[in-house]
Amino acid sequence: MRSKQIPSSDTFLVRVSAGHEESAAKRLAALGTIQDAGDAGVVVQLNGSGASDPKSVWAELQKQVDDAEVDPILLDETGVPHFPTGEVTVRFKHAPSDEFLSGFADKHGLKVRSRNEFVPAQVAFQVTTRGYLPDLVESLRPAENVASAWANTKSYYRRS
Amino acid sequence: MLPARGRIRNPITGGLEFGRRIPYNRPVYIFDLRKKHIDFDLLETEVVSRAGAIPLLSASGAESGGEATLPARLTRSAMAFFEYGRQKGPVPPADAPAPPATVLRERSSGRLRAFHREIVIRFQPKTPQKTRQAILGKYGFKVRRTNRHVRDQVVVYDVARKNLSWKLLEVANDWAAMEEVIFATPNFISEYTRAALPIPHAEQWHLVNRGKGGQKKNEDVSALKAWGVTAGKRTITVAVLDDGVDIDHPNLKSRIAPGGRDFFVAGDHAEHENPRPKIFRFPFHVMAGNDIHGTPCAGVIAAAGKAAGAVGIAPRCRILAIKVFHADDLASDERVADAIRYAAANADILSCSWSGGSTPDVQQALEDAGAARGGKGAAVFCATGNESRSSISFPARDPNAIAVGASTDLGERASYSNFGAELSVVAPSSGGVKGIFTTDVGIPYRGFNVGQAGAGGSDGLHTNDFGGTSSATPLAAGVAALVLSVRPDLSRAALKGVLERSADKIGDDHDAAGHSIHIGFGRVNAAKAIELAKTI
Repeated sequence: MRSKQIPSSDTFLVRVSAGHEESAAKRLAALGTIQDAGDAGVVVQLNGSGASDPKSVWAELQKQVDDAEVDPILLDETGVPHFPTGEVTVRFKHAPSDEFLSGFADKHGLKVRSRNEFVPAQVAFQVTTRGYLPDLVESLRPAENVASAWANTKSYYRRS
Repeated sequence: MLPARGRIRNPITGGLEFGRRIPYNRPVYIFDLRKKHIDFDLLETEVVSRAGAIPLLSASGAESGGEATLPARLTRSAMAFFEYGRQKGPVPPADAPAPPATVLRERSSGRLRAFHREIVIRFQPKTPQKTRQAILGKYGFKVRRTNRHVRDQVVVYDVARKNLSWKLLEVANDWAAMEEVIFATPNFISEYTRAALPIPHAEQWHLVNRGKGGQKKNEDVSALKAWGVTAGKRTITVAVLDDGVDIDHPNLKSRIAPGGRDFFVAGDHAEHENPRPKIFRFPFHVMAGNDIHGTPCAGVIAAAGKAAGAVGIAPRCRILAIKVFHADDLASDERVADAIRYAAANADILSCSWSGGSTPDVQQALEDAGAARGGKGAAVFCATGNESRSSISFPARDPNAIAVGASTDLGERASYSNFGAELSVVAPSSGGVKGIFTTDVGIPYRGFNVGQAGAGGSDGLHTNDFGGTSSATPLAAGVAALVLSVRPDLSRAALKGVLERSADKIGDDHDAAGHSIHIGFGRVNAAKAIELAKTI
């Protein structure tokens, strides 16, 4: 089974720009339960939004904290949460040229961060436009020469 | 016609129970004490004229005009050993070809042996002298000398030179089958390997379970039997992807491969090439908050067994230390994926005693590892998890991983061990009477054992309370390393198949294909896996 990234409809990661942490925290606390996720940002679980459309909830939240970047927490197929980093990775069918990458990045509102050290056909991009991350990833998948695309995330691992 | 391959009865164990010590029998030949027979390949049979034989016995052992090959050198050594050319008996014509000294290569170890015209035979005590003479006389043999320590053991030779070289095998086998004879073997001159078999620490029941203190005997991975064939090769590397490995540990450092990395930090970070444990938070003996998990995992695989410490299942293989976690901190899935790719490019086997949510990048990295080792694929062993769930954690459940669960010293599935259809094998771990004795972080007052004698030793270098599927996973990975030590050409799919097909069927719910959702295909058995690998 291919791994999935399912956007949560009630839990979001908020990356607050430096100097605005306190005011953002106050606003978020009024919306739901907040939890510090270290350098990944602040996780907010909204009160009473579980059954709503994730994208519309995200849009509403982003509007309320417009000085921060908001992304939905991405859940795998078993519900384990992953925290978006604001980057995406694209695995191309063939290793792309620098020129191709530059054009690809411009077209999708991305900035090339780096080619993968081990797989030249895999490239990480920074997301430069503020939008709904799952839509962005979805728009990359049918693009020319793309084998797969996903949002970069952080997560908790359990040493067993 | 000389046999290209053959089998001789093991003089030590032929008809004897394994483990019986024969005093004074310091063999001039090497035998695997656990095998009843020794398979060999006929490597070379030299026929050298008597006149030509003597000059070859030069002090340097080198042929004029170049370095002698090893079999040739051994043949010449054998000639000297058997006093070739100076033996009494009928003198053949001067131009007659001298009988050959036969060189064999033992298939399992690759060691060489030569023999010529002597047999070592040991009679049962109280065998009448007349009977002994009749036995020897059957083939026209006479006693050359009697063992000074064991009067029933003699070296005999064929006076008429009819049963020389390879024909001695038949004679020895015939005698060995007689009830008056304890053993009979050609008097070999052999290559020795100056390396003793590893000796497990008394608490390492997962290697040798002697059934003490309520444990069930032989519920282990058959390490001793496996080590009779191989204790691993330095050319086989197992990557331990975890929270760091104490690469300075006295029982590990000789087994550490160069190239360890810390993928928790970026590639340009000053600490990227330092895979040691780094994060320690009070209380220091608790896993939460501390980098104390990777070091025990590494020890289960390849601890060197120094200073009476723990020994790994593959103590001559090497560990590639890959740090991917800083204790329980959030980790970048991209870097975890890259750690897998790096490990696959630099090791043969990956051991991952952890789980997390599934991500496309990690999943892709597991697939990428299939292209490593020149296309044969690096095998990725992953823990099923310790939550007693009927589902396997990620990445263990991924089709490109080998899911490892845990069994106990009682020969049962450990109750905490997650199970499911993807479960490949189980390996001994905690959950029964005792936990696993292995290396611990060697930094003073850090690790599971912070210096208590009862917890693995007052020096704090070992712990006796490791366990979970965390310990089972490196144990299975180490068994795989032994298999690759004898069959480095195996693909990762073939390797997985060997482990599954050779596993001990514990439990009683295996289906027609031999699989159980609780036990997988069974508990890994190192000895059987090696034997099976040699036959495919």
